[in-house]
Amino acid sequence: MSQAQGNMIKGNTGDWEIVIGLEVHAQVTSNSKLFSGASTKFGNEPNTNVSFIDAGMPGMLPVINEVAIGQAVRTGLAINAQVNLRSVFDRKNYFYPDLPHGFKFNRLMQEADRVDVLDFATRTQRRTRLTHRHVSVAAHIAFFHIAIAGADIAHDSAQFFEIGDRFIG
Amino acid sequence: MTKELISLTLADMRAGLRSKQFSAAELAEAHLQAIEKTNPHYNAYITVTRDKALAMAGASDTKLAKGQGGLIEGVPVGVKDLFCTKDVLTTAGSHILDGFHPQYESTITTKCWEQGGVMLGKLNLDEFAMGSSNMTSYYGPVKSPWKKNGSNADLVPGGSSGGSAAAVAACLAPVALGTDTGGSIRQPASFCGIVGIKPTYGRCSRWGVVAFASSLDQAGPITRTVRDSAIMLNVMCGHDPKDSTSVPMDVPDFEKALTGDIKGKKIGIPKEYRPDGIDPEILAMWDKGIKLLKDAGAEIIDISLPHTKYALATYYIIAPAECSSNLARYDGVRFGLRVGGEEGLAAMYEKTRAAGFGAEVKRRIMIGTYVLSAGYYDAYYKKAQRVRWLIAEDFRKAFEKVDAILTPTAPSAAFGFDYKPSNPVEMYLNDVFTVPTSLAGLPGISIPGAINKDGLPLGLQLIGKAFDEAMVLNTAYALEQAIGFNAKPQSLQMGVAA
Repeated sequence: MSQAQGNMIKGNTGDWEIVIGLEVHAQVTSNSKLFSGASTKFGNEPNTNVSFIDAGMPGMLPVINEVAIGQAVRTGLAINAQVNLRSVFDRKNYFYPDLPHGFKFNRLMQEADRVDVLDFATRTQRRTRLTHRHVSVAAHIAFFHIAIAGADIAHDSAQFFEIGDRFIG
Repeated sequence: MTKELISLTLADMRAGLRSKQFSAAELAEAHLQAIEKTNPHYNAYITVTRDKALAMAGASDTKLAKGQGGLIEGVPVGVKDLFCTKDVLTTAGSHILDGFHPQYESTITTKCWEQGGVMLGKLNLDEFAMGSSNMTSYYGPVKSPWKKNGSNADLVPGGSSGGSAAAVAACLAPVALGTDTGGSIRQPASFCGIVGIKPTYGRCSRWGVVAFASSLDQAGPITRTVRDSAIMLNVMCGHDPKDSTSVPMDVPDFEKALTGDIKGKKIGIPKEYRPDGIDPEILAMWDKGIKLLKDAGAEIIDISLPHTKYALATYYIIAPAECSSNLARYDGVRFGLRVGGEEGLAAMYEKTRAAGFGAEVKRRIMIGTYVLSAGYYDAYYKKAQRVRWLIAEDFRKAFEKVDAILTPTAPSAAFGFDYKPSNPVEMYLNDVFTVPTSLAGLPGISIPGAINKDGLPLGLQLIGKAFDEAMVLNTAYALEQAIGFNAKPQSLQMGVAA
């Protein structure tokens, strides 16, 4: 309760401190996806930018996109982040219509990165601590119409930075 | 002629084809007829690709006539139905892949066809390669061509590459492609009196192989001789840019490595592979193998692999964990079986997976999901990974002192279909000697070691350093010559085969 009074509002049972967290997903600039050679071009017909691995076909294996990792490292350097020499992708398993594999690739479990705290200067010159900047694979976009329901998996496996400030788990 | 043709080794078929003693078309036809006659009994093949086989054989004959062709030009090959084959039904032995015709061809099968292999069909297996008896297949059990002396009861071929092993033992293919996650090539080879090698993890591409446990799965051949395995590894091994875990290393000529000279080589004998209650006939076979290697000039060294006793428990955490994740994609949406759909998506997932997976696969998915779940991940999965490292360290230390390790392949001979384990772990014990090698990612071969008093084959396993398949094969070759195993399955003698 030592925060500036401006951040507090009065509630029925006591004072509440307002804390706003941001989670920003920024798409990495590259021609192909993080784990496949399929195009990342925006605006193509649904389900055209899809390779066998994106669609979760049996026996298909991911191969990392070197360019995308290069972009991640560059970004890390630009924002004065710690760039780890060893990085591991983990799977986050759940069933969902836009998730062909039943899991998505994340960097979550790696101990060295678990609290990947980055220094970052904001426009207000206040130091903000970023956590969990990692490259992950986007689930694809599910779209629904009145008569038909479908899913566009073309968006699947495009690579994103997930940038959360310290208030985001 | 037909019977003689199909009982030839791959090396002899290769020689006969090159010298035009017979054509690839004749060879393919001989196998196809034998399959049509006896596969209803053995159930080794799920799919027979007759038209494809004859077309490929015709193309091989054209090349052979010009003195051209690949390493196995015109030689028939059976394919475990875990390898995706373009436009050919690929089942993984599971109901859930009903009607799945891949639009792509696995790297390993592609390499086989590029080298002139002729595709006979897709071979039965335990569902998603999970099993040690081939009894978990949706397409029914495979029968081994072997029988106990004086008994007509059918026996299992082992698993999970049970169809592959039975087909090669019954002369329904000279060679078959298999996969080995915890012993799935070596144990059925042992049960069927033939040769099977699991190369080092990373030697063969996994691209296009339906995944069971990605950190353990590895393709390998099942053959009737060590030389034939060496020839097949020459075809199959090598880096694949589409599989990041395949290793960019040169592949030696494995057939050339078969000198039979093992003088001065050091062979390790691990004391932990003599558990209490092990069949004395297995021990006798092992001791005979040790003596034969010694007679051939090898030095026998007693070694210890102290973490062996934890291997099975470690494996049955890691493999189900990976399977539970890998099998999440079978949801009824994009391919294979779909059940329901009218009551919404979640119900369709549940009904499809309930109907599509068999009991053993469900058991492993549940174990795997449990050990990966929040709160248990560290206690089970993470700990298992650490023990896995210790097991690999055991081997690394042992290989500072020895060139290869000799053990039995399996703790028993083949069992019958009446065998009802009192719990699933009893069945898992079949893999007790093969699982440590898999966890360490090392190459291991099984060759026939002896015939037991019931008339059934027992296998010997040789384990090598990572990427030292040449040493493994050459030692196995020397041992094969010394053992002189020439027993044939009773079913073949009785003329069940063509």
